Amino acid sequence: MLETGKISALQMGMIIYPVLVSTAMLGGPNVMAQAARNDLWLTPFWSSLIGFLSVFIAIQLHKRFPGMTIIEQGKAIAGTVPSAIMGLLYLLVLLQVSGVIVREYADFIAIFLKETPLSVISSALIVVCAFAVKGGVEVLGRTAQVFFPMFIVPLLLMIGLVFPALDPGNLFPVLDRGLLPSIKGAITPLGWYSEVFLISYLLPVLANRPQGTKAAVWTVAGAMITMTIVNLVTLFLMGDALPNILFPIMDTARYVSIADFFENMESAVMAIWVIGAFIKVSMFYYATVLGTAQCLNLTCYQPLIWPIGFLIVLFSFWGIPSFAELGAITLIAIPAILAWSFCFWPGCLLLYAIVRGKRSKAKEVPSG
Amino acid sequence: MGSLSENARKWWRSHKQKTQQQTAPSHTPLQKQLADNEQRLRDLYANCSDVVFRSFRIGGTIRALAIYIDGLTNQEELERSVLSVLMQTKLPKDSPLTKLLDNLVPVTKSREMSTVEQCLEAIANGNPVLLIDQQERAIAFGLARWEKRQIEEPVAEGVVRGPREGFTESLHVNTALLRRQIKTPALKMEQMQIGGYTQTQVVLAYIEGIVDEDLVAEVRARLGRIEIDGVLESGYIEELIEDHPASPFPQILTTERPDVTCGNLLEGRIAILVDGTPFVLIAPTTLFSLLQSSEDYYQRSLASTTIRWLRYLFTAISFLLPSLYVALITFHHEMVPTSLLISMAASREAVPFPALVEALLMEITFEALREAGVRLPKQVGAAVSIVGALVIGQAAVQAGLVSAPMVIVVAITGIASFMIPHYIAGIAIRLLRFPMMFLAGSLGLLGIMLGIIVTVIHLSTIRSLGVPYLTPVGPIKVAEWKDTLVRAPWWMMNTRPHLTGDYQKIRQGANQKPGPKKGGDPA
Repeated sequence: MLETGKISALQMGMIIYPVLVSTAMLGGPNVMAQAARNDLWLTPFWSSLIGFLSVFIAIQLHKRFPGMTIIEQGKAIAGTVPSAIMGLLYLLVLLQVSGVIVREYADFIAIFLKETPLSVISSALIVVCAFAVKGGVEVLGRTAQVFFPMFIVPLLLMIGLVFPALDPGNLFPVLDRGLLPSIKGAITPLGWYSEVFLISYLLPVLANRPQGTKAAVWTVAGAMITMTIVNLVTLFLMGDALPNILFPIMDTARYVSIADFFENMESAVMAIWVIGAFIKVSMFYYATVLGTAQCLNLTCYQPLIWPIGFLIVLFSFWGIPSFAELGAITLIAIPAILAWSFCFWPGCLLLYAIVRGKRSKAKEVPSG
Repeated sequence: MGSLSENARKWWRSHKQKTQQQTAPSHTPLQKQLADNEQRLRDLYANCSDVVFRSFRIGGTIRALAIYIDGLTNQEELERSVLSVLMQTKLPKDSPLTKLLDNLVPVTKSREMSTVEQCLEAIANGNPVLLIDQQERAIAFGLARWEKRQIEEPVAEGVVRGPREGFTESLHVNTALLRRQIKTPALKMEQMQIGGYTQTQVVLAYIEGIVDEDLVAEVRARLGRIEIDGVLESGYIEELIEDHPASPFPQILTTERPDVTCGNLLEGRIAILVDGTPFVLIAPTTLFSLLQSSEDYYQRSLASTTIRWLRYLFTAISFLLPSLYVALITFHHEMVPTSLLISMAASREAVPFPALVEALLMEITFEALREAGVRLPKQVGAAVSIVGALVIGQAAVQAGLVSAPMVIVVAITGIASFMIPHYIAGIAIRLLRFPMMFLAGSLGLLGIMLGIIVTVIHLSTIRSLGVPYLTPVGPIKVAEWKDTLVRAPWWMMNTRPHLTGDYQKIRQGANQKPGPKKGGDPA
């Protein structure tokens, strides 16, 4: 096995949760509000359905092929040659998506560091993530646990502090245009929720596998609840202006004022958000590195870390000339790719495996 | 690199053989003739003016020789209990040595030896050795006594409430201090010698039944692996057995306090006592145990919990405050409240340096003062503190070299770094402060966050003898939060922390919460 470490189901949840919410929290309310208007509180529910579906597919695949990641499962299901082609495509997708995530991060940070080149910002993050990936899944799990409260507590604190300014009246009229707008708004978030399929890389290293399903489901539910709350808070605060505000959570932070002393906390939000981005990018990075090593039948993945890190930085520039272009890509193209590779394709593999009755040979040994 | 270390190994092997030939020929049996033995020992101790050879006759007939090192042996006792007794006795020629021991010499600790090697060891440890003509065995008397420091209050780990005894340089005083607190025979103390020349005595202490046997075996193996010429302080051992030598964080706890050692032994850790130093090594350790003081357990639990959180806060301040200041001044003005920003800008007006340079200057000066304060002769202490107050203080501000807020930041950071109860842990955090300042100076808050992330990654990577360094926060162990996030009262500390492998989980009886309904006067 490439990965020798073990993590707990709780650690898996704490890795995946920031993966789901960190990008979504920043631009999510704006994206969802564009289609759903004041019904955006319902959108996370629709989009989380694909998350539950992805969890189901990953768990079922893992039940048939325990101890394997999606790359290895592909090999076992489809045979060597087709799976090699699919594996390479899959890795390309992972690279591209990681690149886009890094670019989103860099463009966001560049708002604060106007004179720092984008390449420096993204390379700095990749270097940091490379250390985490080098440490393996155990280090990833532990850092996620340490940072989890640092990610959640400031968010709750901020919501508490803007509480007096909230106007629940912005919610009305509820569903005056039917359910359709709220479903339309769910298109982009589909991609974010399907990312939960990355548990496919973590399920084989779980120390307590029976709890894995519960942890994964709770993670998606938690992400859905978080997004609903964030949507509601931003809606209550900004009302009709929400579709025009690029990063609503930043403007929420601007509202915060404690004793007329702590004001303009946007930079603090940026600092907190870096943690989420770090865990998200590390997880994608780890999946890419581990997947590549498994695809190429390597015996250890560490030598791949720096080359792939370099590629991710490159992919964060290729084909993305500007911030506007990035916005267009992330609205439709990336969610489509994500939904395809994290939900549709594994689903097809699962169906094929069921139809052909394929199971891992090691299944005879009772697992976990 | 490979060939270099190979050469080093070869050199060490040949060197070891040579030194063994010189000092301690392995298993040379004692000869029958006293003259042969005497010649052999005199050759070995040639040019050693501190070794005393005293020839005499037992009962006026049998020739005998007492050998000891001046200053390591209780001479009066040797004269009274051994020399005078033996000189005045009458002895049949072929009487066995044991009879001599049993009947004549009133010394409690004595040992028979048959090789020159054993004699050398006994002499070096201060035990006088008696050689007798026509005997192939020698006797060592437990009459070692040398000048040693009294048991004093530990200097580096002070407490208001708690025992005031500290370890001393003498190994057997230290083991006695442990045994006086933990009286069970389950407290084991394995003795070994480390160091080709110093032959330092090292004791591995643990409580059987509580400790994980694999942990003891691992430590024993790591200690056994050490091949070094001398061990002068436990730091040598620490560096030779730790898991991550490149890390700035200490992976083994050092303490001068017997109560800290006993507390850790009772939690299933092992202690390594080294002769010649009052600092005892305790492993495995975690980051949080470095932030705990023994007094936390003696004060009321609410007070201890509060003080622990104060300590965590100031540990973070000592790590981050200068870099936060630099980041705010350089990049994020808007986060500083306007009135404060104006006064800060006013005080920075005359300062010629950018904030980063200013912070570095002051922090380095502070570190220099601290180091000088530790090292300087006591007579010049006053001078340094006066000059120090000038350098980091009003004079520097008035000269326009630094701003007043910077002085305050440095002062708070300095105080914060001394709030960490274990000095070595404080050094690690003070060291990491400098790269953090550079990160803050180049990338602002982002740099600080990246620095924190890298630090946490590093802390998640290292282990101390198999125990993750960030236990119980990463990995989360809720049962151990009672002794890290808070200091739960003793009646709640029912379970021991889990380190590695098997452990004795239950520490004490359940339901011991006191109250008016329990005990007291029968109503």
